[in-house]
Amino acid sequence: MPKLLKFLRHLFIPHESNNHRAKVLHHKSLFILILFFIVGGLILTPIKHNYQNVLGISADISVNDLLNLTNLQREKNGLQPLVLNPELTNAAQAKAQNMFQEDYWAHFAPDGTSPWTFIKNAGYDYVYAGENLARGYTTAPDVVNAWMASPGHKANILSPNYKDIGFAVMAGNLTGEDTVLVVQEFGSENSQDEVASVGSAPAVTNIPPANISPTKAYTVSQKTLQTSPEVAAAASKPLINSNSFSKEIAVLVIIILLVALILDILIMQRRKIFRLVAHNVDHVIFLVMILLIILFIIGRGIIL
Amino acid sequence: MQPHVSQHINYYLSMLFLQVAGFFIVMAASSNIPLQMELVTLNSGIYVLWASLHQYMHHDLHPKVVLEYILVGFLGVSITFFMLRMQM
Repeated sequence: MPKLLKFLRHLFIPHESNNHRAKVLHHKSLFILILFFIVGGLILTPIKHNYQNVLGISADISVNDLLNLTNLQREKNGLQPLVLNPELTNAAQAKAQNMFQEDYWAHFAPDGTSPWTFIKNAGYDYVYAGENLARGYTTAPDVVNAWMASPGHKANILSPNYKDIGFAVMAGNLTGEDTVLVVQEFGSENSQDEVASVGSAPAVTNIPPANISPTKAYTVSQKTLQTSPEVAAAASKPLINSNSFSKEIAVLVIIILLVALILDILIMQRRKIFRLVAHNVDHVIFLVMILLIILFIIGRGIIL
Repeated sequence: MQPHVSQHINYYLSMLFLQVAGFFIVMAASSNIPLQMELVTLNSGIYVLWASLHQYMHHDLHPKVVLEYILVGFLGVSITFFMLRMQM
C-alpha cells in the first residue's frame, strides 16, 4: 500500500497501527487542535487589526444594487420606484456614523435621538418616514432578501406612502464586532401634492427593523469614507476575508473529526474490539452543535 | 440502529436536547460576542458533566474517558473562541 494511503488510514481509520482508534481522535491530536485554534485566534487578531489590507472583512454591497433591488421588489408589487434622494442619503450616512460613534444597534440612539431627527437635520421635510437597518451581510441581494423576509421591513419597502429613499453602507466596529452596516431611510416630502393632502396625519409612520451584517464598510460616497478613518480603512478589499477564512478552517476541522468519528462507529461495531474510549455518538452530537453555531450564528447578518 | 445506541437511547436524546437548547440559547445572544463565548463555554461544561455522569452511572468512569470528553469540550470552546476573535 502506498505510503500516503497508509498515512491516511492511520489518521482516519481504526487500525492496529493506531491502536484501533483514528489518530485524529487521539488525545494528543485533540490537544494539538485546541492549541492551534487558541494560538490562531490570539495571533491572527492583531494581524487583522494592523494589516487590514491582508486580513480583514469585506463586503460587496453598493447603493446602486440596493436601490435597484428595492425598486425591483416594488415593481413586482405594482408600486412606483423610489427615487434616490440626497437628503435621505445624508440622513442615512449621519445615522450610520452616529451608530458607530455611540456604539449602538437600535433605531433610537442611547440619548433618545430618533431616526426622524437625522432625516429632519438633513433638510428633508417629511410627512412619512421609515428606516431599515442591516449588519453582517456581504452582498446587496442578501440584505434586501433579509428585509423582504421580515414583515416589518417588507412593509417599509412596499409602502405606497414613500417616494424617496437614501442609503448608507459603512464599515466599522459595532458593539464589539467588525461589521458592515447598511442604513435605508424612506420618506415622502411635505411638498409632494398627493402626500400633502394627508394633512393632519402623523409625521412618522414606520420604524422598520434594522439589519446587521459583519464586515468592512463600503460607503455610499467618498465623502463619508473620508469623514471616518475607520470606515475608510475598511473600504479597501483585504487579500483574505477573515470571516470566510476562519469559518472555512473551523468547518473543515469539524467535518474531518465527524467523518473520523462516524467511520470509527461503523468499523468498530463490526470488529467487536474493546477499547477504553468515550461514546462517539456524544462527540458527534456536540460537534454538530458547534458546527451549526459556526454556520448559522457567528457572523451572520442581522436586520433591525 | 446500533445496539449500543438503542441501549442508551434516552441518554442520547437527553444529550441531543441539551445541545439543541444550547444552540438556540447561543442564537438568542447573537450580536453579543462575549455572551456567546460564555454560553458556548457553559454548554461545553454541561456536555462534559452530563457525559461523565452517564459514564459514572452505566460504565466505568475511567479518567482517560473523562479526559477525552474534556478535550472534545475544550475543542468546541477553542473553535468558537477562534471564530469569535476573527469577528472582533
